[in-house]
Amino acid sequence: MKWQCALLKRWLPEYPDGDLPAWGKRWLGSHVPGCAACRQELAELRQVIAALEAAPVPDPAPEFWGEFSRDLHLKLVQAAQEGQAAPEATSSRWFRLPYLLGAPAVAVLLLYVAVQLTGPGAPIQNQAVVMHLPSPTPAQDQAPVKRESAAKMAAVPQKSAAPPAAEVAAPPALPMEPMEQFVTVALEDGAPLPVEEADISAWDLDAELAGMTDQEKHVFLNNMHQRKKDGSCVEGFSFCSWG
Amino acid sequence: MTDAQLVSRAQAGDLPAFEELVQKYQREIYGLACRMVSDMEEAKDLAQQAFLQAFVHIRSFRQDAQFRTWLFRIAINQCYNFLKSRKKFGDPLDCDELNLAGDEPSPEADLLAQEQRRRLYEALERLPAKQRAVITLKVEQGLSYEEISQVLGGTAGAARVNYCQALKTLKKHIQTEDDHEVAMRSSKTVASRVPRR
Repeated sequence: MKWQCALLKRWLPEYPDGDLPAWGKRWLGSHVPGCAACRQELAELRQVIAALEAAPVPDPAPEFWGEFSRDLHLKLVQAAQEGQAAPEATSSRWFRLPYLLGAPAVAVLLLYVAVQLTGPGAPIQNQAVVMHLPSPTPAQDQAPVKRESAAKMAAVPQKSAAPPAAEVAAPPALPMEPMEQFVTVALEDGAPLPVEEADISAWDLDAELAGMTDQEKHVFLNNMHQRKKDGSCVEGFSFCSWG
Repeated sequence: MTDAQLVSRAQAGDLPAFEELVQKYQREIYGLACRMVSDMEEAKDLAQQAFLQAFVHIRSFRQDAQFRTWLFRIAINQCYNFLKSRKKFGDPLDCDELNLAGDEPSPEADLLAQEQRRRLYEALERLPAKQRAVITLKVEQGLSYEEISQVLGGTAGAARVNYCQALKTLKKHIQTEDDHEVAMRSSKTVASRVPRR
């Protein structure tokens, strides 16, 4: 029975008509009458509760409450007067609003500048280099801004057929120091390599070649050289494509 | 007028409405503070401070809970702060000041009742503050466990466990004092029986 006693002890102060769930009442009702230890514990707890109820804090004299009310009234009036003065503080806080808005505005400005300097719209170092254009068109004479955007667009690997070479501007030949080079190969029908585009970054080219057999490697490199020679290979800013 | 109406008026800045609430609850708050700090003068100050805080923050009171429970919570926090600042659980309660004399029919019964109350108050003083608060709220103010949990934080189950633990501790303290007194009496008796040379 001891485990039941341990479980039920916390419910004992409420037995039999206290704040107990129905199952707790039933359990206690079936256990306590047959358990001497719990009966004794219950009797002692009831004594303590009875002693507490029999010894409330004595109610002070009416004079005490009179003085209490007077003191408190003065404090409340003072607090109310201070509370009426509070709106001035509120208005001064609203007056400070521009200063509070200043910090977020500066943060937004700094963010904008950072994005402009380092983001997609930033001026590009090591500008695009288009090695060769087989059939230049009047589009080449467009503004440098357009050339920049075309070069950037060309830097994005495309799954569709290679863009017309005419759309790619031809800036003057610059030393080619591409940080990243993509080689897009769109193979013609009947070409020895698989008929699909391949995007190969420069530093991945070796890895790409390493994955080929000697025969495939030979065919691939020959094909690349040949296409460079016949002009069907276009190299732009970090971009080289065959179309 | 109900509490909710009085609170609404007090929130609109009506001081007499708030003073009506004060009149209604001042005895309960004072009794709680008295139990908590065991000092009648301090209890008076703490009760006034609790009402003042309630008045200052009355606009932030959303009437989700009862005003009475909210007031108890403020008063308990005031008492905790006071006890923390004193770093002890108050000075011993002055039994004469508390007017322990009851309505007993004979002087002997009156003396016995006074002695029992003194023992009870001393045992209460030795309780941890939270257990004292739980016992006071449950036995003297008649709050349910749910309301006690709103006042003291935690859950209703935790309040029940705290209450049970508080009663057991109180019982132990009272019994210890009884045993101590019995031991003192018996030692006096033994000492009186020892023949003096």
